[in-house]
Amino acid sequence: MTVRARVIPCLDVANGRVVKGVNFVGLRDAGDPVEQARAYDAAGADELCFLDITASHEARGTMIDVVRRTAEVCFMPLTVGGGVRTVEDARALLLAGADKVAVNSAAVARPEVVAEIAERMGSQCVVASVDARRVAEGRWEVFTHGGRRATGIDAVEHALRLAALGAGELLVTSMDRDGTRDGYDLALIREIADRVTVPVVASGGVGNLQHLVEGVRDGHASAVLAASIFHFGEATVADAHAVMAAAGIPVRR
Amino acid sequence: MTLALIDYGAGNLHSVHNALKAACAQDLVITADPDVVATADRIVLPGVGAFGACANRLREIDGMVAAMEQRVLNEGAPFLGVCVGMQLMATRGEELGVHGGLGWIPGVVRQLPPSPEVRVPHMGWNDVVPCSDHPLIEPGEAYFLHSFAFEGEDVLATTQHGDQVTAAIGRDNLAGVQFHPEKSQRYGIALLQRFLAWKP
Repeated sequence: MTVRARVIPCLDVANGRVVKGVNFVGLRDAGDPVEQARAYDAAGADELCFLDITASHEARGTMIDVVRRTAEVCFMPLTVGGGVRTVEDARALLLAGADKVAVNSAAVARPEVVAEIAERMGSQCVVASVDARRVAEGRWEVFTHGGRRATGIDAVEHALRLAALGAGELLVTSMDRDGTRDGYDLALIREIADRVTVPVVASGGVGNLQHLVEGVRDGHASAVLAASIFHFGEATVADAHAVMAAAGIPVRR
Repeated sequence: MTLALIDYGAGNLHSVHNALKAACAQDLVITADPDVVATADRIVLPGVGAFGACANRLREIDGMVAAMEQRVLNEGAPFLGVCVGMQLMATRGEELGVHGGLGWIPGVVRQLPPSPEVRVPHMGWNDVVPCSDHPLIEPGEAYFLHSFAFEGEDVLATTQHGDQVTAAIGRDNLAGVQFHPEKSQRYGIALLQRFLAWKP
């Protein structure tokens, strides 16, 4: 076979607590990201993503502690995003046990930060995260601040630039679809995926497992990220793998 | 039975440490001290990042390479290199310029050619396909994360990413894996357990 399409559950974390996560049976503390990560590890998630939505400087130390404790008990790749602004931010998370760091707003303000992290820590650990809204047929714009603030930057051009600067992966989120459960913005994902040679992670809008299939088959993504379908207990990672395998997509056995 | 995990600033040092603990390693020490390495019973070299930078950092530790060579090549202590730690066993690496490796296993570390069908970095779970019977390398699925790959002798296992890509190398008491056992859940922990029990 070939490299597998990855299923990546995403946990929103604020001040060291899970805001949007899974109600796993038997957790002593469902708000503890480490417990949730451990449950996903046991469930066979291909990777895990922590998104620190606190976005305050004071919470950085808390997140680093969460990452360190997670890496002690989880033996799967961990991506951490949210508030990564400098090489030092990235380095601290990687040394704590993160495998990749996702850079978002900082790369809008100053794309070169992607190159700086890639040069110091390697391309493989830099995920460039792009939040986009459709502004016209076939045209998307980068938005910041949770999709509220327009930047005037073309999202596809921005993604291509970050890949050229050394991002090892692109995480592409449709802010139009995020939270709608209507499925990924496949045109957006595909437009970017077809023009880069790094892996692309589809994000934003998953409402059922067929959407994961579409993300890979029609969006040409290498990995699919989802939160709420796992969060509300509608599906497990094993369900996701089974549906994708049935559609002919290579996944972990 | 001391297991020396070499600390030369590699980003995955603590992840490998955690995984070795999960594999029930005894007397595990993280060390940058050549004297500890010179008497260790087993040695693990982690590594992520660029080949040249990693090679330089390892060489910057006064006496470390000599201690490794004495203990591993002359005295036969079991050795495991992980990711760039494996690549460093090669003759040279061609990442951001040409850099000399340890030269323990003849071969060169070259860039994987990227295309929309064969994306680079090679990122995700893929097969480990053993080339022959080896006490460490079992068939299974492991997590890969790399843009450069070993081409040369003593290949123990391969995987498929466009072309065949080296997944593990080794001979005698030397072994190295391109994938990340510390990130490969059960498969990875089991491999580390086999390394801890390995009597080459």
